[in-house]
Amino acid sequence: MNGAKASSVRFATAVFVSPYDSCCARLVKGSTTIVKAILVGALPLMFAGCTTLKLPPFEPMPLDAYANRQTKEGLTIGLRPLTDPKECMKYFGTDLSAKRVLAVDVSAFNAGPASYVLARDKCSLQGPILAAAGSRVLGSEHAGGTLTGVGGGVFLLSPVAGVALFGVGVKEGSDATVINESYRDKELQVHTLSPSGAVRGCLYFRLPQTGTLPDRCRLHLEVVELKTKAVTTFDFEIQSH
Amino acid sequence: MKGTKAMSLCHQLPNLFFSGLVMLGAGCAHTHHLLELQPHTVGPYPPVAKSDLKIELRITDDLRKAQCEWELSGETWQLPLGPQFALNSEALARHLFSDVVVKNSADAQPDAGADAVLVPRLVTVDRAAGMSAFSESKISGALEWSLKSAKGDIVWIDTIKGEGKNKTGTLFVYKEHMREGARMMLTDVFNKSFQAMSSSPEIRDFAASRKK
Repeated sequence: MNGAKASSVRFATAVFVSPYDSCCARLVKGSTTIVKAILVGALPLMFAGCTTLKLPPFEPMPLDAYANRQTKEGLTIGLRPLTDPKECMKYFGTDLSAKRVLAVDVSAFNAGPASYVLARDKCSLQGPILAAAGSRVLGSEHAGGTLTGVGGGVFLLSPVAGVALFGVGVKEGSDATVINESYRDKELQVHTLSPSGAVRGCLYFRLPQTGTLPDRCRLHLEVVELKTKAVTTFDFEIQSH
Repeated sequence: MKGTKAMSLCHQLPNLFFSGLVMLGAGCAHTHHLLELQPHTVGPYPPVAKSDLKIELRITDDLRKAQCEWELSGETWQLPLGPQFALNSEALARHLFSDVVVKNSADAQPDAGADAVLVPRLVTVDRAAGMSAFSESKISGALEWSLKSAKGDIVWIDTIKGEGKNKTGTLFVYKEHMREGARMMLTDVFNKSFQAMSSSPEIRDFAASRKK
């Protein structure tokens, strides 16, 4: 309270006292006080903007820990829909469900003697839904460009506020690249599951943009045995949001 | 005295105005930057017995022209990586297989006498930009390798991920840091590719079956 009072007194002094200062000088002195006030307000914003967003890889998780799992022909597949916004924020830097994207953490281990391929294009979410989500659906890499520009513009009026906005713009752009990179890095890719081989990654499904989502849906996976070309199917009932 | 100080600040106004214009320009102008990368050959790989197979390595135009592209604060950056992936794919194939012929098309029928077709395909290449000169930036890439028999059956397929991490760098060195990150990512991808292919039981069994 005292600080605020002192600040306002100093501001008044700068503008209205000093009869021998030129009008311009008075204006500048007033401006520097305003700048200091803005600086104090902008500092947390500027410091917050100085760190790069860190998104960790998935923590190791044994297949037994997956509540949803099946074993066929020696091949065990476990999966876990990532519907908790906090968990999504931790690993993806954004709430996927708010963007109507369902991420499913898929883990597989081959304890059998044959080799398999888990083909991504054979994976589908069945129900009154859906199509596989494409890459780069999360952060926009254009993010930050506008704010950076606005920051430059505001700099003309107030240097500190301008620098702060410029920093926020750069931060936003940096975050977008980190989010996109992490999203694609965690995506399940095509692998041969050799005997004793394991794979893990996320399948992404775009949910309908409007309307009420069903609580549960069916996830269909197909695995092809390399030598015989025999197809083994896995169907899971999962929570969709 | 106070008036002099105020006047000197007043004289700084044009500089501040100019700085603002520069920042405004930096934020609004959409400029393209092309970062050329000198040929970078990964290796030498550890010595290994070559698989006795005649391989057609299909290096497509998609791979040759691949580039890492990202936007940050209105700036577009392009890092052509296709030539590096093509160069290293051939070097790795020649290290692992006894006979390698390089072709461009991924879908053409293999020549008579070819045992298998090896196709590298770039799945993703991304850059996560650090916030400041001292924070970490990362380039990551994923290369899918598929080895199919002359009949078109999949013998082995895998996606190899690699990454390169380093400091973003100051205004004077950030471009070289980007290139260094890309070289680290290439090295990681091809060393892991070597490990995956040289230890694959599917490729080993296929080579053994072709000898019979």
